[in-house]
Amino acid sequence: MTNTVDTIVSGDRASGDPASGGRQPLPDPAPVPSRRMRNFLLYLRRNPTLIGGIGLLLVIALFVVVGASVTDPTDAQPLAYRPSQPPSAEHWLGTDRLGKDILAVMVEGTPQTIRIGLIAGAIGVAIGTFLAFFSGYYGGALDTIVRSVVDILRTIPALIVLVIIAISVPFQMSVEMMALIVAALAWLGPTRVLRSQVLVMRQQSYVELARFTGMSGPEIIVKEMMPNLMPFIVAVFVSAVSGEVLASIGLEALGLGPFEANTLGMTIYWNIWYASLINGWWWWWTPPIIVIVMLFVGLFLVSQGLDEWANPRLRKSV
Amino acid sequence: MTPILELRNVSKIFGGGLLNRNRTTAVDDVSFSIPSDAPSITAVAGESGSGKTTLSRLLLGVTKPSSGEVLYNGAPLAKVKGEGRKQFLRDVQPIYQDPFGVYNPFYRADHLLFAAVEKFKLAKTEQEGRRLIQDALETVGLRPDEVLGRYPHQLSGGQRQRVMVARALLLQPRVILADEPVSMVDASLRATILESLRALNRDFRISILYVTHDLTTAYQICENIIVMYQGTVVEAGAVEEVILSPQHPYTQLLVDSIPRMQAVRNWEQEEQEATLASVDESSQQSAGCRFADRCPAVMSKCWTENPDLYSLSPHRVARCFLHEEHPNFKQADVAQTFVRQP
Amino acid sequence: MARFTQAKDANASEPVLQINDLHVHYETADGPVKAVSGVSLTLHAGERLALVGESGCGKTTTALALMRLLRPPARIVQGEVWLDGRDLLTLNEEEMRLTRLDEVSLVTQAAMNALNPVMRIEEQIIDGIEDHGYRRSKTANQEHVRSLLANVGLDARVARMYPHELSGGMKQRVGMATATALRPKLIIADEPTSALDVVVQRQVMTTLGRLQRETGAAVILVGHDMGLIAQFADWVGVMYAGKIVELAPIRKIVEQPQHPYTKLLLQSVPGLGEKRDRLVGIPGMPPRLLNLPPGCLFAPRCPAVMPHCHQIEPALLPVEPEQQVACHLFTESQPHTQRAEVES
Repeated sequence: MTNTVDTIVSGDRASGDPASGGRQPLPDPAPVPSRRMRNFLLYLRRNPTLIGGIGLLLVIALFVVVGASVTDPTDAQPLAYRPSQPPSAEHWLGTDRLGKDILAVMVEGTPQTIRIGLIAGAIGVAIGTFLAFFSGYYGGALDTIVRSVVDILRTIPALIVLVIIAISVPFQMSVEMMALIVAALAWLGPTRVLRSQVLVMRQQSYVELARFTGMSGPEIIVKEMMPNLMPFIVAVFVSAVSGEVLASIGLEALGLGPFEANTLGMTIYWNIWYASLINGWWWWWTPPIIVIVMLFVGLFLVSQGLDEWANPRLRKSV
Repeated sequence: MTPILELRNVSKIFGGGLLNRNRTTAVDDVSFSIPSDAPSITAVAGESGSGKTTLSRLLLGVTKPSSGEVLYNGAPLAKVKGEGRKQFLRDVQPIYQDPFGVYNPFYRADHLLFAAVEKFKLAKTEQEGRRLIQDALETVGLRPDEVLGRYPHQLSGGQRQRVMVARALLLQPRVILADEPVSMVDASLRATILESLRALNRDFRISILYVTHDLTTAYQICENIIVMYQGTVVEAGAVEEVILSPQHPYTQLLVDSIPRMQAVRNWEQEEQEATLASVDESSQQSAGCRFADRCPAVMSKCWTENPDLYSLSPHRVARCFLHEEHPNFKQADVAQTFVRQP
Repeated sequence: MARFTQAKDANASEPVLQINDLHVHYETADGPVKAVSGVSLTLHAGERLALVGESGCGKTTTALALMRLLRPPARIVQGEVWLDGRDLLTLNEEEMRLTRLDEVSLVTQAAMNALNPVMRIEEQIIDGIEDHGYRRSKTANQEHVRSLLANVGLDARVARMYPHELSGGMKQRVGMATATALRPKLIIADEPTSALDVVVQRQVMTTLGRLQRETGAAVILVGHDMGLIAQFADWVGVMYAGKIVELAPIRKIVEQPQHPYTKLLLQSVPGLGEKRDRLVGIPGMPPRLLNLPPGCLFAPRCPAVMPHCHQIEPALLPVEPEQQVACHLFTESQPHTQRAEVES
């Protein structure tokens, strides 16, 4: 029965009676923003996941910045150098079969891939937030439609849909076009996840009270509900970015990407096309894979870390 | 005169539908009105599951009735839109049970006061609004500097609930629907908060519907009371009659169960525990009176027939066959039995 | 009554519980919050004591400290809790675990929700018993559970039920059955009925009263509802800001309260007698228990405050047989004790 007893205590402490811990007023109303910031920094120390994720992303950023200072964009063009050279003092990461300097390719391609993820993630989360709040808050027929569409579309493998969209694009593929294509399905996840949060929040008394204060639906959504879900929306955004990066790499590896660009996915595509693995050009396929893995792990950790921040229930106790 | 708010034969059934057999009748054919003149404090009392909260939410328009009509100034509330809706918000305001949940954790505690001033255009300048808020806070016994600029978690439960009363004071609606406003604060604060509610009624002529399980405070601050059991009104009328000499066995049980400070250690001498414990919060539904399975005075017809409301006196009705000899209560609206101050 | 150490009663039995100068702090970034400061109590077998006061007065913290169930940041900084000849605060965790339920057990509102949803009631109670090293045959155990349930007015069928099949009142009865399973010498009931309806509240409290009489255990009831306490307790300890400010039999508390705080607390509870023109709560707020000022902590809210109340803290002293009060209104009439207090 000891575990029973443990639960009693934690339950009781949460309800707040024992002495001043929770319920007594704290005498420090004034410097709230700085206090929030300080609390967040203090909190960061308890959230190694978030720290680790941010750290990994910073390493990638550092790689791009340092790499950019030692390479020239023209180095990443085909036939710039002798093809398929292993790493040397002149070409730190060697050259590929097309005669590009691999370091220059990575320096150009990594930000391009991240850009695809950011654009598609932003579009997806923007649409998702909009749909989630309006369907979740208003309910009714709109909600039924949104929920059904999301549920149905989620049962179809996304890559198939994206492949069909990509092959039916009639003009030259660009990085931006790539971002828009993967954004086509990017709103599904955010809509579903955020909608469930909105449904919970809609039950809160402060949302109902806002109606009795005469606020309109959109006003309540923007002023009362959204600020509280902001950390959560950020966490959803980060995981959306990682999902869209994965989708774009998938499409590009299949040969449906922007051929002119040096994105990580296209580099993988050329590796496959020229069978670099069999040819022993290890210096060509390792860099994109390392960057991709670091990017995914980094984004995943940030997303987990933010999720823990946004969902206090997941927070570990001190 | 048309009442400001009225329930006409309203029922509310939760659940149900084709696949769900778990139907709960939260409110069963209740008629009740809040007059637009003669503001008074009316208690809606009962245990959990009595439908008292649903009743107030029907009047607020946040719960839609399954059958019957909710009327605002004689017009169906569901159809009140636009300007009429604005007027409704000016006239009818809620006070909630949980004095924490009404605060948006993102904002400071005064957000709901400033938002009210802004949306209802109570002040021309920001300064004027601030002054109004300070006055309201002082009227409910709060020092403005202990509230303004603080976050809700920095206030005590009592302070939070008093800020809500201050909000009502700012808006000065004609009706306040207060759902268990003091059940989550401790006894000493209860008195303070209830007294400020009473002041709202007395000084600002606001009608208050006080939803509660606590008959003692209902008796202290209300003129009239409705006692509900499993969705139906079992007894209603002037508090002096209903609480001081309850006639429905359920009201008698409730009044009997109030722990009384004056009668020290009375309970264990009476020891009615054994008989009551066996039924505990019962849930069987019979075709007849809903209280039959717990009723100490149950008769055979109670199991098969549902009693009507009988008029025991001008200011009291009760739904019990023990009072069958009295005339049936003709008007459905139980508020017709209430005492009204001139 | 041999409640007070001062009183000498040759026939008095040994106390079941003796708390000496208990101090509990909540460690916060701004310093220690003194939730309980210097509570001393003695309780004999079969006595029922209620601790009453506003939220945050330290009543629950005191109760949980006795069970050693406080979690950081709460910390027992000083004191002794003698239960039947052992100081609970010196036991190690395992000894304390065995002592809970066996010698001192807890009934709370939270206990209702602490039942394991996937275990039958019977299994949960037997689990608790066996956890304390009592092993018996299955049938003996089941027999025991049935008699425990019968004691709290529950049908034997409840033994085979799951928690979700029970109402709130029934769960609270299961909690009481569990708490008395090993016939503890002390039962701590922390607002056991605050989530229950009045009718059920009455039933549950009457059951608790009968259990107490049958087992002869001492009970500490923590609550803020004076009416409820009047129905249950023999003794009342009124707590304010982590200290006991008045300690007396319930009848004296109700009929002739002495401490101004007790008076206000009682006044704030309306009754069914005459209808009052005005409901009066206690003015002001309880102090934040951090960096406590000198003197009586109730002084800022006290209607009978005197200048020296702000400087000198009153000690808990007998003002009448069986009635102790910590207030300078009474130290005046007892010059000796006042001088002693000033010196200390």
